[in-house]
Amino acid sequence: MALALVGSASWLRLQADETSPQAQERLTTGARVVVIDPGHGGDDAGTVAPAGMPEKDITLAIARRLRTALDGRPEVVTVLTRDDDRRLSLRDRTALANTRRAAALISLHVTASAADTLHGAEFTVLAADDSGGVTLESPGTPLPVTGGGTRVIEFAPWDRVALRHRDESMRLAGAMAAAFEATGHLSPRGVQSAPLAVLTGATMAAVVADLGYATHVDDMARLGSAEGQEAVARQLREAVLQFLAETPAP
Amino acid sequence: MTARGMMLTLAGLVLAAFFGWVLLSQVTRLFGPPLIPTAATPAVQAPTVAPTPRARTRVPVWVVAADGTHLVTIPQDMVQESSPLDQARGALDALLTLKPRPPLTSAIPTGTTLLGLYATDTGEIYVDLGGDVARAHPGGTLREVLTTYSVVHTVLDAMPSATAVQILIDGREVETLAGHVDLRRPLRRADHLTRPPGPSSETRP
Repeated sequence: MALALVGSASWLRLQADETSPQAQERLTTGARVVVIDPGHGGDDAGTVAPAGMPEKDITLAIARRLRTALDGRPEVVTVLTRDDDRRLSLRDRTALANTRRAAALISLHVTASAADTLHGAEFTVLAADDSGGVTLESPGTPLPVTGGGTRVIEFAPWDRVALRHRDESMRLAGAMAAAFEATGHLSPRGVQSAPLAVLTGATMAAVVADLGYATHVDDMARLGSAEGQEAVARQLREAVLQFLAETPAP
Repeated sequence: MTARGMMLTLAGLVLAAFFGWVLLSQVTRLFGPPLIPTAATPAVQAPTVAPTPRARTRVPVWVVAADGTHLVTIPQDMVQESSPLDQARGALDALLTLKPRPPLTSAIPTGTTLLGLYATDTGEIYVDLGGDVARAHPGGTLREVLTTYSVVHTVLDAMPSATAVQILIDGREVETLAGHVDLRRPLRRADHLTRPPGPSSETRP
């Protein structure tokens, strides 16, 4: 069974220039990495509204705005999983956040419903087993060590390790929900849990942020406009800064 | 050939035919079906009886509720299969073809086919769907969650001994259906996505 750290050498190369010298300097003074993941990309357009931008373009536009909004802050270094229109596997997105030892992974999406009245943003963390997901069973295994005796080594299957960060993920999702609720843009579903693939194996607080409904006219008008995207990026920025302020560095 | 020779040849042929008939009848008697009716096969054919109709059962099939956020059931009348796996197959066939009456909607993309259904001895069920389930999926986290769990719950309700369901596409394990729900392992129930049966869920298609 694969262990917690899922990595990708190609991703390390691709992303090596994304942290500027200033960002590198901030990292040496304790800044934390926030990985922003624009959902979908390339030949995977995501959900497409009858008249509006495809999901992949909305998520990329807002990811860039969020990066700009956060990059002026000394306590944060942002990394985007993609900064152009390309297809990425979900494993690679999670792997990038893990290899960067990120404090948070925020995967941006646009959702959709059979009911065209449903609207607003909603946030999803990894589900525990009682709600359709996986369980964390980590009793620890005593293994022999040099010099005699044993030491209990805790192995965590990679598909379950994210549950260790469930409380942090809930706090991050809660902060986002509060920021959107303050402007009346929170969906009645608020914070949810589900076994979403990009969250599986993430070794940090990880949230899928569905920023609105492609099936709701007002949501699409907001997410498709520069003003709306800027407003969404500001709400996400507030939530991220609040989360980092309340989360002690490891 | 003389007349005598012809007579001898004819007699030989008659004798050979006789012994051949005797031999064949004995072989048939020894190895073939009984010539004399037994108690299990009455000599007189019984009057034709109409076959007993197969027992029927109601199996819940899960569709999207009017609010678009939950799954509700539409019970389907179907033949009671002797094999639980066949019962699950029947329920899935109903799920894939069901066109619920609005405001209920199917979570399954049009054209989705069932390619296979497999069970392990540990209670995991593998549902192999045709590629249209992904190609025709309209996307969105919530819709994908509901598509996935409409399959999971329909199978688990039809087959109570099963514990989890993994969806395959075109015979292969896949990462997701449309970029969200992790299909790389079997999924258990997600009861928070369901509403108990009620007036709206009893609407028949």
